[in-house]
Amino acid sequence: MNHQDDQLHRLLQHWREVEPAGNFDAQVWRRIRQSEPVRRPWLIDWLPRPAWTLAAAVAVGLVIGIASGVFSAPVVPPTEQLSFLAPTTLAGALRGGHR
Amino acid sequence: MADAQDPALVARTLAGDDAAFDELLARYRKPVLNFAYRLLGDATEAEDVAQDAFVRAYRHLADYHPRRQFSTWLFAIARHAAIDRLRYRQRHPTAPLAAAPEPAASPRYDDLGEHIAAAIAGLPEDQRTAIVLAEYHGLSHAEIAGVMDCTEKSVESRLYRARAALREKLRGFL
Repeated sequence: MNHQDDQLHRLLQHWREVEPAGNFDAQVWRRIRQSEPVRRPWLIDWLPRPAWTLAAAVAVGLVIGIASGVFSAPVVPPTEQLSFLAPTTLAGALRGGHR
Repeated sequence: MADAQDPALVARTLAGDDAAFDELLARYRKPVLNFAYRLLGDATEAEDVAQDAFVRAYRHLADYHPRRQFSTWLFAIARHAAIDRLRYRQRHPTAPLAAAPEPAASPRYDDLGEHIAAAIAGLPEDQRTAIVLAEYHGLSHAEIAGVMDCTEKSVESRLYRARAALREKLRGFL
């Protein structure tokens, strides 16, 4: 740095600095939070329309309902289904004859 | 201005440690604010631009390469934010720009800062950035080249022209 540059440098230092505001960091964080994209569940992205979401929920409910109905129903042997018939009646006698 | 701990603080921030970014804010809020202030000449706008620079830095922290000085990377972001503000000013002028005051024959000492601010404001943006980084932040030619994404020769040329123009404008104070 030559003499002229040194002289200029000393002169320029008379332009004083400014101080950051007390809430500088808080403002930065506030702006960071504001600019953050809203994170949505992946399912919402996968099903972009509410109608599709509703339709998918109904379909899943139907499948679960039908499946649970089918698998939870008691399996009754055909002969036990006719056990209410008394042996004294014709139908009961016929039933007894089949054994 | 380079600090060996900066890359570690960046890595911690990327890992989700907000306290590490607080530390970067504490280290660089004043230099970045004053860099923006000397480019824009307005303390309120500088505050806004400096905050914007930190938000941009946070958003693009993953793009920072640890081999590069964090300070020059941050100054480059702040410079772009300031240039965006200068362009906005040009598109949305709110008041006629005040003419740079001419130094009086016997300048008053309390006006000196305003004269210097006006003289620097009158420089083209590239010369202004170079002289501010050299004179007020003590950056080397190589560091300024890193901020401005140009060659060291180009920095030398800009500094030479900026100093010549400032000596001319401020000759009444020298």
